[in-house]
Amino acid sequence: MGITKLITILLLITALFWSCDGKEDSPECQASDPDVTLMDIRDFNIQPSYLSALASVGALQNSFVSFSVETNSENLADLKNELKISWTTWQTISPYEFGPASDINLRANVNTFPVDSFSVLQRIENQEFNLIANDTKGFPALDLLFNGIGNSEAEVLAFYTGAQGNDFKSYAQAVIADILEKIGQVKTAWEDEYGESFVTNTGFATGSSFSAFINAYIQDWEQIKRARIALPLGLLTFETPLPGHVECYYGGYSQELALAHVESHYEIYKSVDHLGIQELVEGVTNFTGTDGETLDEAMVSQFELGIEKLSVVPDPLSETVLSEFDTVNEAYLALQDMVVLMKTDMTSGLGISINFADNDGD
Amino acid sequence: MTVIDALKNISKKLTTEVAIFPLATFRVLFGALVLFSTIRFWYNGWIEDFYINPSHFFSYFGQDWILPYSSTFIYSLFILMAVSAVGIMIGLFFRASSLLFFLSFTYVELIDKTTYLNHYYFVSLMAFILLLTPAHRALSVDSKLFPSIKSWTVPKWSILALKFQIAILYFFAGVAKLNYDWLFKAQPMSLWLQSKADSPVLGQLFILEETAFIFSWAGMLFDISIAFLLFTKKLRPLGYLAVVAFHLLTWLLFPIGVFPWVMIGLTLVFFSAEIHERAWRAVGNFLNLVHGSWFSDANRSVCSSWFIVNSSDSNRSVWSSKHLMKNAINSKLSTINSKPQTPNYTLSTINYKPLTINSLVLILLVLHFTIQLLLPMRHHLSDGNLYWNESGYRFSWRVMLMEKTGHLEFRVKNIATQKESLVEPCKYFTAFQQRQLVTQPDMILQAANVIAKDYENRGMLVEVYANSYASLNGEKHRPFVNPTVNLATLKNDQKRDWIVQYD
Repeated sequence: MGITKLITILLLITALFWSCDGKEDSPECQASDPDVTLMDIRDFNIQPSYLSALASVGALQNSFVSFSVETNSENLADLKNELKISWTTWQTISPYEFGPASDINLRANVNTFPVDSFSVLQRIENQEFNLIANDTKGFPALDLLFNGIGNSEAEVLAFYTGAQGNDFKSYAQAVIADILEKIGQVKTAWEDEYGESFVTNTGFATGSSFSAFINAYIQDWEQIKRARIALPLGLLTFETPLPGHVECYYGGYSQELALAHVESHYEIYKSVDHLGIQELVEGVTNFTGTDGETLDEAMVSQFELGIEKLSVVPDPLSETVLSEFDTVNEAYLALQDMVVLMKTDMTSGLGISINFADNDGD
Repeated sequence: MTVIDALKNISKKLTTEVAIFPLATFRVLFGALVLFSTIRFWYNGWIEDFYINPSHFFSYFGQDWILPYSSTFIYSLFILMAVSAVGIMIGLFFRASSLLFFLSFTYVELIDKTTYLNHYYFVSLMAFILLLTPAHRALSVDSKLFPSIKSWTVPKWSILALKFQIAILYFFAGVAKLNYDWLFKAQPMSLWLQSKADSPVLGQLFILEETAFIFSWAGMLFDISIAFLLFTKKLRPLGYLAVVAFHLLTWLLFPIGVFPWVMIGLTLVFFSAEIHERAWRAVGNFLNLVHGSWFSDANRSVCSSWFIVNSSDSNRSVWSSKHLMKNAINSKLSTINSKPQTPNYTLSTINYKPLTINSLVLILLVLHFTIQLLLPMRHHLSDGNLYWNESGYRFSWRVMLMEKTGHLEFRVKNIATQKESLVEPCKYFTAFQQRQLVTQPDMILQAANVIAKDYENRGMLVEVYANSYASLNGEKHRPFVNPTVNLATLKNDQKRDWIVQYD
C-alpha cells in the first residue's frame, strides 16, 4: 500500500537525520575534513603568537631573576625594557580571546587596567602574595611595580633595596609567574585537543571556529577603541577625561601599545603568505562601497586610516587626552568606523551573525 | 438565497460532525512537540539566559507588567507549560490543560521581543484554536474518566480551523518572499548558503549562484502553493512529501530549532479521517499487545465498523451526523457478531447538542481569522522600506527573510550641562538582546527610554541619541537611526520618521 510505504520511507529519512541531531559539536555531525584556512590561522597566526608571547614573558622572568639577585639600575632598565617587549607581544594574542583563552578569562587575568595601586601596595605591606583580584595583577601591576612606585629610577630601586624589598620582589615574582602560567595553559590547549578540534569545526554557524574566532577578533578591536581610547578621553564620562585609565599609565607608552594592538589586528587580517580573514572577505560580493570599492578594499583602507590616525597621537597618552582632544578623537573615530565595517558588513558578508548566545532563529 | 440563509448554510456545514481522528492525532502530536520544545528550552539553559539574566525586557504594546518577576515564577510557568503539554497530549483535563498551556506559553512569549520567533507565535495560535475544539472526546484519558463526553465525532470547524491557520502561515510566508531581493538577487539565500560551503556532499552546490536562485524560488513556490496541495486530495501525498523535504532541508541548513518537526507533525492534520483512523488502529493494536485495555473492545468495533461502512460509501468525505447515525446502526447490524458495544454510544451522539456553543466559537473564530488575514498586510499602512523600518514586520509570517546586521551605541546628553557621553548597550542588555536590538527600530526606541529613565533615577535629566548603522542582505552599511533625534522623548509610535530612510 502506497501510504504505508510512504510513511515508512519518511520515518527512515527522519531517523537518518535524527541520528545527527543534538549538540552541534557532537563528533559525528562535524565535517571531519580540516579546513585549510582554519589550519593556516592556527599554524601561522595563533600558535606562533602564543609561543612568542610565552617566550617574551619567559625573558621577562629571567630578567626579573637577574634584577632580584643584583638589584641595580642597569638591571631595572633591562627589566623595564623586557616588560615593554612582553606587553607589546601580548597585543598579538589579545585578539584570540575565545576557546581556551576565554575559558580562563586570559585577557582579564593578564591585562586589566587601571591597576588598583592602593590594593597592590597594601597587599605587599601585608605580605599577601596570593593574587586574587584581576586589577591587582597582570602587566598593569608590573607597570606599577617597575615604573610607578617612584618618580625616578633611584626611587623605584629604593623600594626593592629597602626594608620591604623582598616583599616587593615576591609580589612581582608572583605576578610574572601568574602571567606565565595563564598564557602557558592556553598555549598548551592549542597544541592539544582544542587546536585539533578548531580546524575541524568548520562552517560559519554559531559554535563554529570561524564564528568564535571572528567574534573574538571584533570584540577585541572594540576593546581597543573603548578601553584604550574612549574611556581615558572622557567619551564615556560626560567629557571628563580619565587619564588614569590608560593602559600603561606609569610607563607612559600606552599609545605604542595601542598602535601595536591595531597593527597586530591588521597582520591577522592580511595573514601575508597564508590564508586568513582577508581571503574570506575577498569572496564577499554583495558589498559595494563608495567609488565601487570592495569590502576588502574598504577594510584595508580603514585599517590604514586607523594606523595613520593613531600614529600621530603622542605619548604619554594620559597627557595627550587632556591636551589634544581632537587628535585622539580622530583616532577614536577611525577605529570606530572600523567597528561598523566589522560588525555589519563583514559578519553579514561572511554569513556569521554576531551571536554570543545560542538560540533558534527563524 | 438571502445572506442570512447563506450564513446559516455555511454555519451548518461547519458544524457538521466529522470523525475525530485527525484532530486526535493533532492533539497528541501538538502536546508531544510542545512538551519536547519546553524541555529543550529548559535543558539548553535558555530560561536562565532569556528570562533571568537580563535586567530589562522589551515589552510588547506597552504591556510592561508582563515580566519574569522571579526565577521561581518563571520556572513555575515552564513547569506549568510542561505539565499542561502532557495534559494536551494524553487528553487529561484537556480544556484546562490547553487553556493553561496557551496562557503560560503566550505570557512567556510576550515578556521580551528579543525572543520573538514566528514559530512561537504559531504555537500560541495553534494552542488557542485547539483549546476551542473538543479534541478530547475520544482517544483521550478524559473520555475514559468522563464517559459522558465520549464521542467519535467533532464539528467540522475544529479541524478546518487548524488547517486554515496552517494555510495562512504558509501562504503569507510565500507572499512575503515576493520581493526583489529574494527573487532576483537570491538574497539573503546566497549569503546563507555560502556560509554552508563546508557541508558534506552538498557544500560544493551551495556556493553556486544557481543553487541560491533555485532555493529562493523553490521556497517561495512551496510556501505559496503548499496549502492548496494539502487541501487537494489527489495532490496531498505529493504535498506532504514536499513538506517533509522542505522542512528537513531548512532544519539541516539553518538553526531553526524544533520548527521543522512542528510543521512536519502538524501538517498531518490535512490527511483524511480514514488514514488517521488506520494509524490509530495500528497504534491501538500495538498498545493492546503491551497494555491490554487501552481501547476497550467496544470502541474498537465502533471504530472499525465506521471505517468499513465509510470506505464502502461512495461519498465518504461527507461525514454528516445523519450519515454517522445511519452508519452506526448499519455497523451494529453488520458487526453484530463481533464484540459487544457500549449502548450509551448511540445515545450520546444523538443527545449531543453543540449548536449554541458552536455558534459562539464560530463567531470567535471568524473574528480570529479576520485579524489573521489582516495582520500580515498591515505594513501597507506604513511608509518606507519594510525590511529597514520593520513597521508591521512581526506577526506576519516573515520567516527567514533577510540578513540584517547592525552596530549601535547611544549618546546621552546631560540637559543641564549639555555635555555628552557614549553609552554602550552592553551596560543594560544581554548579548542576545543586543543582537536583536541593533537592527530593530522599536527596540532601539525602548532601549533609549530605559537609558533615559535610568539616568533620571540617578538624578540626571538626559537626551538620548543613537549612533547606529545597519546592513541589509550583505549590502554596505548605512546610517540607521537619525543621530540628531532625541529618542528619549519619542513614544513607541508606528511612524518611523526618525529612521534614516532606505531609498
